[in-house]
Amino acid sequence: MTPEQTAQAATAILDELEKAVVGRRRALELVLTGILAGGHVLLEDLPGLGKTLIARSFARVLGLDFARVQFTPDLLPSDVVGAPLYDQRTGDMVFRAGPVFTQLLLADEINRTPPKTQAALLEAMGEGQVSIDGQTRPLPRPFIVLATDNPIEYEGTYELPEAQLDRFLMRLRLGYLSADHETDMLRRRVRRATENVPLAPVTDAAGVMAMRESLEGVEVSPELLDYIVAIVAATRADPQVQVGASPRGGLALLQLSRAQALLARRDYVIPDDIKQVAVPALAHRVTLRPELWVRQVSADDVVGRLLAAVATPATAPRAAATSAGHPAQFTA
Amino acid sequence: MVFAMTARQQLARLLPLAALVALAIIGLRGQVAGPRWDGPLKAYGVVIGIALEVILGGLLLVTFYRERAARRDEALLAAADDDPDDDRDVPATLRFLLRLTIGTAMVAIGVVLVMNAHLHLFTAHGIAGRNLLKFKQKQRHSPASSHAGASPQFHFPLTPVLYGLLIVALIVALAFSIWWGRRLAAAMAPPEAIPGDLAEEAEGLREAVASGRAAMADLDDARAAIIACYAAMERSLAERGAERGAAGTPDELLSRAVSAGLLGGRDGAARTLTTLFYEARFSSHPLGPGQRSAAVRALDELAAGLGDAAARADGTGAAR
Repeated sequence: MTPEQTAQAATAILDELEKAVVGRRRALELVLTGILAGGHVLLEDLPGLGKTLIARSFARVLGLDFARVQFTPDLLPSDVVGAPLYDQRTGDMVFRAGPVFTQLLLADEINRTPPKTQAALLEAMGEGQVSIDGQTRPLPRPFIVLATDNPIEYEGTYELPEAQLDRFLMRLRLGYLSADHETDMLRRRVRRATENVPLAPVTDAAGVMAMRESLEGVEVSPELLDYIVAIVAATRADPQVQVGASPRGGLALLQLSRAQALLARRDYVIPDDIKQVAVPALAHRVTLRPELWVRQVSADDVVGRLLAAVATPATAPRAAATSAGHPAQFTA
Repeated sequence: MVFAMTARQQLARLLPLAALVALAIIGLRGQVAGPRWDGPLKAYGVVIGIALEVILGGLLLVTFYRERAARRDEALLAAADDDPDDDRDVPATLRFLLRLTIGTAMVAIGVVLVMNAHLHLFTAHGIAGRNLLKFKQKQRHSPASSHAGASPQFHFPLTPVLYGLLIVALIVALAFSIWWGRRLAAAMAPPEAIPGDLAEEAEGLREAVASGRAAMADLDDARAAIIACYAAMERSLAERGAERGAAGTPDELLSRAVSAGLLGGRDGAARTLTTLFYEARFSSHPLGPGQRSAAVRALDELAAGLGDAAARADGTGAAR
């Protein structure tokens, strides 16, 4: 699949999704960049903002197998990844696969379950496989986790550990719809007279894998790689940050910016692509100093501030700038 | 808005309030019984007062420091945030109120300390009282006072005069505060553009674009020529005050220039040139004469737009 074909398919996917998800084009684009970049997406926002709808709609439009796990305080790891059971007829231990053996897993309210069960997803998300009873079982491909969590409730919730957060390629906050979009949503509901919107699959698992592979054809200039590294390094040096972004954060930023370039129908990355995905890619990997909680400074704010401070590549290419010193006298 | 006030503006608002509190305490001194302190620590009243002043002063310094840090953060966030509706003035208002309260308390404690230091400056036993007493005693011994028809005692209306002075002082403080506040606000307002300056500026821009085109004509390579075209546009925008900035991107610069109307209505040409620049700068695509001539056309169109803007500015200047 060429980058141009991927861009066309991505547009078709987004158009189909918008039949069900109103007024969330940018959020849908970001989720799609996460899927194209081969990662897992954490949707964090208040209840009722369409997180589950987005996940279900993606599964339908991408033509993937879909499973949903409602995370609760009494959920066990074996309820997620599966467990061996004794088969009385054959007298053997038979593995019963858990809901994680799917292509698109919706992990709903993931912060309602204890860390032990959350950690059961770690290997699945990181390696695309599950090891039980000394046997490693690969998960179907693609394997995508769309998790949701509710940031306002503290009672009966377990904050996701940093290791688990780092496994998510991006974290998105949806926010409320504008008044116009909200009215449009209600109008559509009245017009169609049913609860669910029928969505048609635009592609399938093989198509998604092909789209992912086309990402490797997107060019990133060396100066933009330096720019990505500078942003990640800035998160580590900032006085408001206790723990900066990991190298995995830099990789996430690279792949997401490539996917962002594809959605813009380009086969090369520009600095704006990096800036557009930097907050979703890095903010959840940054641990702020505790006193900033009192001042209501969020990691999104800090990453946004760093983006406004880290220098983008200059107008003239590095070699030309050093040799000529003036953009108008640039020679290749 | 409170959060936008500088320290001097806050001081301009704090002064009349402090004056009001001080004058009210002084004015009520004769009419209302002062707070009596008969507790076991009454001997240490002055020490406690000074300690309170030191503590409150420390708190005031801390709030000033926090205000400065918050301003710095807000400035940085504002640079990163395009949302103008982002409301951040509630903590700033609370910080201002806290400083106002601490400042008022410090002034009040200071006044009470001075008045309880047995100076009796403003009481019936104080200077005014003593002067009045001497005046009355002099009148008694004066031969003129024994003349027939004159009042046996001259009564100087001290209390109404003092209250009058209080009111006058308060009005003066308020007037000063308003004058100071307006003066500071006027100093912070952005200067208005002068049509004559705009014409000169547009002429400078045309020169910048022309120099960019001349430099580009010497370049054989299409990639270098496109980058040179874009660099000329960027320089001309910088001369109009729209600089890209170290952390800015060409698209961000374009958005700012379009919203500020700096492109003389040739937004499409600027967008084309920016897109071509991105491809030339960040891709290894082979670029041919077609893209080069598209960049030159875009730059020419921009130059024409700037010429129109200059002509309009000249016309406006002449009309005035």
